[in-house]
Parts: sequence; structure tokens; C-alpha cells
Amino acid sequence: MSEPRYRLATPEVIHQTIDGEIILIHLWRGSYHSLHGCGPLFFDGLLRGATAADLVDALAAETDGERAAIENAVERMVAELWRVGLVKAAEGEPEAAAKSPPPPKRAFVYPQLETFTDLHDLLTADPIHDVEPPGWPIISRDREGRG
Amino acid sequence: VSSFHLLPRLARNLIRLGVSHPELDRWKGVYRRAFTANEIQLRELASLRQRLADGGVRALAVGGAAVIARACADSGLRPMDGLAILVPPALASRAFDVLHAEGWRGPRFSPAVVATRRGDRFERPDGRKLDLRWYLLGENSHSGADDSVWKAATSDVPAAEDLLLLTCVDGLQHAPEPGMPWPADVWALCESGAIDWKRLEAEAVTRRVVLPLRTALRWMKWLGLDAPIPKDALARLEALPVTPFEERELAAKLGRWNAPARLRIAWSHHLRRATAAGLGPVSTVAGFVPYALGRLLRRPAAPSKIGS
Repeated sequence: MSEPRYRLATPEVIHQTIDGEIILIHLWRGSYHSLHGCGPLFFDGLLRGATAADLVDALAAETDGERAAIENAVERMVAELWRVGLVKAAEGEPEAAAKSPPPPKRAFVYPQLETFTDLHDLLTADPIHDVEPPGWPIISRDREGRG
Repeated sequence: VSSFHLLPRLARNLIRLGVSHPELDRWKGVYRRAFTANEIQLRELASLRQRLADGGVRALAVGGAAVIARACADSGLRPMDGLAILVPPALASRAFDVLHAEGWRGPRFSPAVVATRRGDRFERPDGRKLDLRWYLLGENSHSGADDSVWKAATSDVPAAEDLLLLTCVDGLQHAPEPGMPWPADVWALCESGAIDWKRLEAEAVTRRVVLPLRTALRWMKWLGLDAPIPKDALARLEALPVTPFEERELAAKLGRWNAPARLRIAWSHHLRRATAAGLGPVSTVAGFVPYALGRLLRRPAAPSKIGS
């Protein structure tokens, strides 16, 4: 039996990259997610329909992480992405990756997914004055108290 | 001016250039928020246009969604302030029906409304807003005024020059009020390289809005926004003659927004309609009374209940 492949749950999930962070919005569930750490390095695989082993290979090629640590990180991250509905089983043939020279290796930082489920409330906050220094969607406690 | 609307673009540019700034994280947050809110609104717009299409009504996106489609590389660069669509005036009645059926609250349709206004405002109980328009510009609210807009539109979005004309003519109403997005939109549309400047010039002449167009473009310079406008295009616009009629209209628009100013503007819009319809002087004057009453006295039939 072939290994399961995963891909981004489009069209219900949309994404954008800003400064090495992947923003993901689940339009049906009304949730907002931020993928950072080394997560963005394997995100391209999720757009093409990749196996967990493909994602591990991508991280191993681009970071200095130990293979066992990378496998552990990918396993946990795929499970989390699946749990919140951001990925689903890929069907059909996987898309080929674009050929490019391998980038210089960077330090392995455990991938992290932050999840915000109250998108409607977040959108009512002033993105300048109601937020903590990291910026929207980290809402300040003062504002939460007022709400 | 337009500082809030420019923050996402500023954050993107600073990141691209590798510049650090103590407020950059906060501005990146404005980008994140704009992208998120816009994607939700764009999805709603697509759904609404499908409902209208099912009802036999073609709708063009105008406003922020259209500027994003024509001039922004990604949707987070231009925060949207609600939805706006343009439908053919002959199908406005059907559009009203679809909107009410979809739960939008707004006035009831009447033929007099289409004859005297360029559009109406609808709202959702949760505060979301929609501008339904049947004419692109209030200045040209008569049959056939937007034929060229519909002809030049692609992918259900007006051509860049029609959007630029709309942005400039409407934007002047707010100039130079802080927080309005129009200068950023003018800059983005000019920078997109999609403007057919000769067509823009021809449209401005036909619609008799040369003066507001070039005044808005002058404002851009005054605001320090160096929009990439071809020098020859600007020179041609500057050389076009304008009538005292247009000068008085613009003065009313830029001056104090009171009843005489509104009446002056209503009269100038009515004159364009009368000219297009080939009316004589008596019919023009007689037709102004119902026109002005329809324009100035109309209020939404269903009061807004935002937050209830």
C-alpha cells in the first residue's frame, strides 16, 4: 500500500506568505493560523501533494536538523494540520517540484502552528491600537477585558 | 493621508528591502488583518455575484475589490471597506430582489430611484456593507452612460482607466480627508501600467469630468505621492479646455457640503442627463424638480440596525 499523501485543503483554505511566515485561513471554519519555525520550508510540498517522507526530505535538505528530530517534527505537524482541517488526503498524481539548486542549510527550528479560532472577534479589533507588540492577531489583554 | 490603507504596502516594501523598524511587527499585523478580512469579503463577493448571475444579472466588481484585481499583486495590500458592485440599470430591479432574498437590508426598488440616483447602500445585520450601483459615476447617471465601461470590462472588473476615473472623481469628494484610500488607489492603478491614457482622456471629455480628474492627479503631487503618470498624458489633460459649468460643479464639491452645494451638484448631474437625452431648455428645467426631489429626499426604507 502506498504511503498517504497530504495537500493543502483548498479551496476552503487560503494562504499567504509574509516574511517567512505562512498565514492560513480556513474560510469554512472561520479560523486563522500562522505556520512558522521551519514549517514554511516544507509548505511547498503540501501544495503539490507530498508524503510525510517527502516533507522530511525537504526539511533535511534545507536544515541542519537530525533526521530523527525532523521526522518527529513532521509527524506531529502533519497530525496538527490534519486536526485543524488545513490539509487533506491528496488524490491523483503528485505534482513535480521545481528544480532549483539546494539552498544553504539553515538552523533547524521546530515548526510551530499557532491557531486562532475566533476570527470574527479578531476582525473587530483595531489592528494598530488593540494589539500586542507582535501585531495582529495577538490582541492586547486590555482590549479583551473591554470586550 | 491614507496612512492606514498604506500600512500593509509599507510593511511589504520594508520587508522586501530588509529594513527594520520598531513598528514593523505592528504593520505586518495590519497586513495580516487586511489579507484575512479581504479574502473573506472577496469570497462573499464571488458568492453574491454567482447569486446575481443565477438571477440573470451580470455584476462588475467596483471599489476595493476591483482595485485589488487590477492593481495589487496580493489582496493584503489594500484593505477593503465593504463590497461594491455595478449592475446594468435595466437590471437594477432584479438586483434589488436578489439582495433582499440574500438577507441584505436596504431600500426597496422603485423606477424613480434608478432615474435619480447612481446606487444605494445595503447592509447585513452584522454590519457588513454593500454599495449597489447602476451607474459608475453620479455625474453620468443616464441611459447608455456606461456602455463603454461594460464593453471594456474584463473578468467582470472595469478597465483600469474606468477605475482610475471613478477613484479620482469620487475621491475628490473626500480630499484631502485623512484615512481615505483614494490616493493610494490612484497610485496603485497608475503604477500597474494598465492605464490606456488616451481612452481615459476620451472618457473624461465625453463624461465632462476632465477637471476633477486632473485636479485629483494634481492632489497626488501635492500629497507627495509620486504616481507614475506619463508626462505627455498629464500635459494633454492639462491642455484640455473646461467649461465654467465644470468649474462651478467642482467648487461645490470641494466646498462646504450643505444643501446649496448638493443642489448645485444635482443640477450639474441633471444637465448632463438632459443633454444626453436631447431635452430642450423648458423640459430640462421642468425635469429638474422631480429629479432633485428624488435625489435629495430619499432615505433608506429600512433603517440600519447594525449591532442589533
